[in-house]
Amino acid sequence: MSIIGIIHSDAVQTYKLFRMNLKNRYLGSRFGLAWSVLQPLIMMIMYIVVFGFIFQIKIAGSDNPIDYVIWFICGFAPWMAINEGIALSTSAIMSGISIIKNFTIKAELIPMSYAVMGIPQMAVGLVIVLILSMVTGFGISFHVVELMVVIPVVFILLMGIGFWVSATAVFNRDIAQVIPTILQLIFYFTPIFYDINQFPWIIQKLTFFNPVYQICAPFRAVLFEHTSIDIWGFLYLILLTAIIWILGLKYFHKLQGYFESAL
Amino acid sequence: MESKNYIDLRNVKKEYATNQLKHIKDKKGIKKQKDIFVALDNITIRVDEGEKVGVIGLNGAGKSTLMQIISGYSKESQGKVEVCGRVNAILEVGTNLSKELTGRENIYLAGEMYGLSKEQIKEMMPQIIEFVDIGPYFDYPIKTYSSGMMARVAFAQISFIEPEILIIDEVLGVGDISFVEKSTKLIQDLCKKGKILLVVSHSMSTINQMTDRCIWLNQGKIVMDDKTKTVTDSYIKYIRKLQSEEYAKEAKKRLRDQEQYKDIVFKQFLMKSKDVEQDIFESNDDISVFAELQTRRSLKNVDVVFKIENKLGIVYMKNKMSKESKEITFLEENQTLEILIKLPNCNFTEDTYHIYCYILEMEKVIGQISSSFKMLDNKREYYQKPLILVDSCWNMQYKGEKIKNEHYWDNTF
Repeated sequence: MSIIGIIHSDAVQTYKLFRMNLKNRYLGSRFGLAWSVLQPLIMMIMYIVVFGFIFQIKIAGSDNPIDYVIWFICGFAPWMAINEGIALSTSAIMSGISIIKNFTIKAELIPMSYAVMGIPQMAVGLVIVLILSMVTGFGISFHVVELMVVIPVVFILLMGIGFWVSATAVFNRDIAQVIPTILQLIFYFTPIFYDINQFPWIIQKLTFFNPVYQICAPFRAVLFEHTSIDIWGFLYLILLTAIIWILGLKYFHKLQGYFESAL
Repeated sequence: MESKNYIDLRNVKKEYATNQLKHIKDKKGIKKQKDIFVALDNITIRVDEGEKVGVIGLNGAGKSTLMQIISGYSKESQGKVEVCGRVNAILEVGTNLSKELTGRENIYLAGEMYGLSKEQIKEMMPQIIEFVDIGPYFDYPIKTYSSGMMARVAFAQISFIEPEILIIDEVLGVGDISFVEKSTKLIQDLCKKGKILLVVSHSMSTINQMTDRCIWLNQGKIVMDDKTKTVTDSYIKYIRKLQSEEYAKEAKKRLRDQEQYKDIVFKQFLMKSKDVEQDIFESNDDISVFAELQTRRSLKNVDVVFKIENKLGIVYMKNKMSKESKEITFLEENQTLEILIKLPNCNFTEDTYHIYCYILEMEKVIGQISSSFKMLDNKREYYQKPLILVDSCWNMQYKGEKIKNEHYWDNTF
């Protein structure tokens, strides 16, 4: 398979796998697919109550609690997708080994189908933001269309990261323990629930290179600040995505032939 | 130009390194070296379109590893692997994709995974429903199924495969006889569709039925690569030789451990078929049982009883010599009595059996010995068929002279 080489049938196959993963995830429980909406909803409410009302974190120059809510979700919706995508990709090969063995399928599609598992959560967050913006008169700007470019890039980046973690996790089970902790650290050290201005100047400059920040920033820009996305940040994100994807796929292919010896 | 399918392996080697270090004693002293297990060594094979190839060998010979390398699931350590064509490998008995979904939904899912459209799957549904044959449970979640039902649904998914290169690794239908027949037919139909067929099996009859060419692997190396009949015949000879060596060892041990009766000693007690000593037989084999005993003192009114039971204790054959002919009136001390019983065309069903030989003097047991043997029914001829009569041919020699040569029909009393 060529480096970029995602052909149409691969995309369709990945989508089918994604749907199957979703069904498997929620089907056993009583509320079923409703959980895919309830879970992100509950998470968001929890964080908003804790950070917004208990800790009273405020957004620069605004006392309106609704502002914080909208601002927070703008950053949190993509974060949920990142967290979910990376965490699930880690165990992707282990979960999908019977499919790789029994069906003629490109193994890389498995982690790809897990990396995009955050789509429902991101969707719930974005829908809530749009509803709140309309209902409270906060308003929606036409810049939202720019998200149609941003969102695919985000998930391609997650797939790229998925190649790295899923292949490594086959041989090094510690990764599965370490990743959730790393994700937690990233959550607290990236300005997701607090404003970047809380950081000292030098840290603010370094945060530019934090890919999670560059993922959340466009959402904030478009949905909260009602401005166009920062072009430099976005170009940086695209560059990072390309590098991680291309090298990740190579890495994955190299290790692929040895999966069966470790499983 | 339409490219033809082929498989080309040159000097392929597959190693697994464990994390242990092995101590190697060498002229320079004891060294530590990485412990490497060589699964395949110097494999060179070329298979062209239209060929049907069987792969046989003992357990651990490397057959499954070879199939994994050809299917691309595993990577070779050395050598060149070229596979032209889409490979469908049935390495396990299929798998069910989701325990939460119903049997029907799993079939649809599997069909989609194989690239079929919903309409194509719908067309094939009636024959799949007939194949699976689980009635209304087809629309219940798979987690409610018994393991046999799950296996059937998993197996049915195989019908979706449109193979170019088809690899079948030891896949047997589990379940009752009717399902085994159905699944065998399904595999055969599938094989007709493929352009190249590779079959791994322990059943020589399957290999002979399905393939023209056969490769014999032993400990990772190719022993033979030739026409199927040639290779399977040699393989069977090899297996029998191994078994008879095993059996000879066990027979010696048995004689050593025999219960010490003071009046007679068993010098030999073994079973043979086609002049090879062994304890595993196939249905319709001519089995011989040979016992040689030596008397420690003179004996009067000697009788001999042979009994064959299955492992549950059900008696399949019990012949008492005195029932059909006379007892042996007198045996001197220190003389040898040889007994040869032939069971021609033995049609016991597949099971493990025990054979007992009792020596009686005046109706009292003065010596006995036993052994066990297995019957295999590879052609499934006697499966679940009742045993009617067992023909046994008795042949005894005393002091070098024949004293009996008679037929008994089973008289289980």
